[in-house]
Amino acid sequence: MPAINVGGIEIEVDEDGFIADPSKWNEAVAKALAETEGVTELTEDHWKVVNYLRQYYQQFGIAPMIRKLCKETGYSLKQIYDLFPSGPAKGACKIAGLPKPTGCV
Amino acid sequence: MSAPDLPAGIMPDYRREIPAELLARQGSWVWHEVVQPGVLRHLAADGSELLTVRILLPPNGLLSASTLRDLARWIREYALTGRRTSRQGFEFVGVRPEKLEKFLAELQAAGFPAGGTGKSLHQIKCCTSFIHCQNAAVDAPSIAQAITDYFYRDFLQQDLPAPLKISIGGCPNQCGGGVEADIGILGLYDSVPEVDEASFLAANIDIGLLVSWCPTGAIRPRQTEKGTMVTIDVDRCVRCTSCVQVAPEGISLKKKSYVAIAVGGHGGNSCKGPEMAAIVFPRVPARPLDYSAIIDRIEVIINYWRRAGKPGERLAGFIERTGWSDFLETIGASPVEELVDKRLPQTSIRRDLHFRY
Amino acid sequence: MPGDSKEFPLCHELMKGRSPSHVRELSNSRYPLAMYEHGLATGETAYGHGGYISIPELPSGVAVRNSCRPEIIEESAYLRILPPAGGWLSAVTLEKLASCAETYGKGLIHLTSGGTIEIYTTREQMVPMVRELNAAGLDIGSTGNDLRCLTACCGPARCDMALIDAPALATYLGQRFIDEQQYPGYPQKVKSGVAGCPNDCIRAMMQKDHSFIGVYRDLPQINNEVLAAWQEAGGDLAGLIAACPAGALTWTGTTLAIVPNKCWHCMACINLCPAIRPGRERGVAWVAGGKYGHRGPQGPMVGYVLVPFIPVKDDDYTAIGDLFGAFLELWADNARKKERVGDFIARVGPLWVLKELGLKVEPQILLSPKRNGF
Repeated sequence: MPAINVGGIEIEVDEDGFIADPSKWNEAVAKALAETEGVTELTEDHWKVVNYLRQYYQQFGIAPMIRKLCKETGYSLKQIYDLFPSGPAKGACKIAGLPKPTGCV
Repeated sequence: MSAPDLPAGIMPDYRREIPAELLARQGSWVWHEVVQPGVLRHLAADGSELLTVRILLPPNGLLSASTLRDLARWIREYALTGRRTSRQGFEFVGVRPEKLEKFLAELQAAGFPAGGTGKSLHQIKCCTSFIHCQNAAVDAPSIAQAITDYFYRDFLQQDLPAPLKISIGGCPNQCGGGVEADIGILGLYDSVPEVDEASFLAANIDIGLLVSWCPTGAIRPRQTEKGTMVTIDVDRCVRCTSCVQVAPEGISLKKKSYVAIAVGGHGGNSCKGPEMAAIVFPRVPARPLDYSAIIDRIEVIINYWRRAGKPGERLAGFIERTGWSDFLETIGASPVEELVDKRLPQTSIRRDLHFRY
Repeated sequence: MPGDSKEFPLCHELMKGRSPSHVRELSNSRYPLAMYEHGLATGETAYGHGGYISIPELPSGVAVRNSCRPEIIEESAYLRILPPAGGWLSAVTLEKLASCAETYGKGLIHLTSGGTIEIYTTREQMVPMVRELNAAGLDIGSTGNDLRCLTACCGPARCDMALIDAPALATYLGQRFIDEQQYPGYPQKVKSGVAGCPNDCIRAMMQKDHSFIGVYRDLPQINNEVLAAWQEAGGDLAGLIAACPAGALTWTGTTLAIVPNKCWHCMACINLCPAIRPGRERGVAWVAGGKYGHRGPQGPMVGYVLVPFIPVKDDDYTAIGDLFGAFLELWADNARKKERVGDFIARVGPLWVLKELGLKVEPQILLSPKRNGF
């Protein structure tokens, strides 16, 4: 299984770069995952999205619907794509340490 | 924000595809007629005319770059502009009258004959199926090709009672529109989706969506020691494959398939309002490339309508006049118990005593 | 392709017929014919479910089909282009699509049944191809849970029946809601169509989640002079009168007239006779919920007419755009995940939708009063 290096510690990720064990996530891991997504700096805007996703995931065990994410954070979907070029699912959820969503729906 | 703003998107304006001389005549048309198969003439109030030539394209609107360049060259030489039709055909608009005969001959020689207008077989619309789709139960383009080859003459002539449109959708998604047409062909699955426990549990599957999207409540969650699993009730499952869409990692389908043939679908609000087609042969084999079972049944339907249909009578109107019992018997349709809608019986079972014997 | 008849016998078979062959087009491109041959030979597609795909800079309009035969092709990516409304394609646009498909793709264009244009390519070629398309005034979108391409009929540039400028309205909506077409944030896809008259040649009422259909509210206009000429030329007056589904046409012996409260405002007489032209008071009917797909509790369905007549004057589409946007918001806020508009309206009820949008329930939308006391 591929891995990313965070401060000398190997964190396993799946073939699409999603963290294998969501419990291993921390802010340093987020920064390392962000770099794999071409996000060089995590700004306050990024953290607002990441923190919301984590909070929702911890409460409900799934990622929120994209529309809910936009409403709750106040960013338009276009702004989310500006922040996370790979988009809310593959970009933001990955950086927030959520498991890879399934299907092509 | 750190990332640069994404550029604004572009929705093209259709007017740039139409030369100014044609745009200037927008709205001036008062009537149109079919001059000959494949050629339409629109007339303006001032007596001026506009010729359109409609050609047959290969099934599914698949065109190589060289064919696309041919279309462009023909527009430059013979017409004002072009358009793809909603049935995956192509039209040259504003064809120069003095060049019409030469143009038609050139199209014929190039293998893209003019036709499919008025009381003829129109371009068969279909989905992409085995060429580029993961959902396909059957291969719609090759079925379309087989039907077009067989009824080729009806595309080039206009001696049917009314227009005949055939559409083919390769799976229950019906992107090809098998439910819409005078004669529709619907690719369907025989097999019930199967759940693979290990891979299902390993993937991050949205169980709530899996359950809520199933149209018949055939899929139910079940707690196991290893996590939440699902069970599919074979009797309730209608093989729509929604669950496979949600969880391709954990639910798979053996692709045993067949087609259903439906009749009498029509859009438009002239006389009756739009209606989906009704299935008369629910289970016809469709193994590539042996489509004789499909063609035989379509031929029976067309022949009966050609023989007994009144001028201008679409297949739906014809069936309404003659009655389902007569129509089903004449075409040798499947037994009635296979034609009743089991989920919505009120749409299928008579609730009056208007019997025909 | 001399070697192909042995290598791909079934594909080869499909090039032998009289009619234009898709395999001939495929073999004139760099499409991997072995994938199609696999499907034809086994009776199963060689493509697998596509996974999540996101290409930075391209939020929608891109997709990937997985391959069950990785030794032929590892995966097949494609771009979906937002087409000019009404299907209009000039020589310049056709040539641009051809050169993009050749330079960045497999040299193949797909005019889809849903109204879009697809080009098969690879992930690496997507961004450069989109740059070139953008430079030519074209763009991609219409994939995933977004506002799908706005289809329209050919409109008044060519058609004598067009009551409204359908491609102009589709273009207006497409431009106003361009972000919705390019950033997939809805619970499910939502397809839209604009038809110029009740003939609905694009079958928007059936295929599209959301459609506007050109309608007239006054009576068809009869020109008795043209009628006389038409009869002289062999026009069948008795057949015309019989063709009216409402029995609204009457012949006095010298003139043809329409009984006002009988007329359905369909197109039956207008389609048959040049002396009868559509009325002049024109607008659109708003229809929502059509779909062909068998997913969801309702299965395939024709849409519900929600508003019979919204006036259109001076090509001002603002009010229609406002309604379009308001409905999409209402649906997106209240629909379940993957719930198409038709299933949503069937669940919440058409009257709830009208109430939430502050619209009046017009008597024309009623098919029949209810036949129970609930």
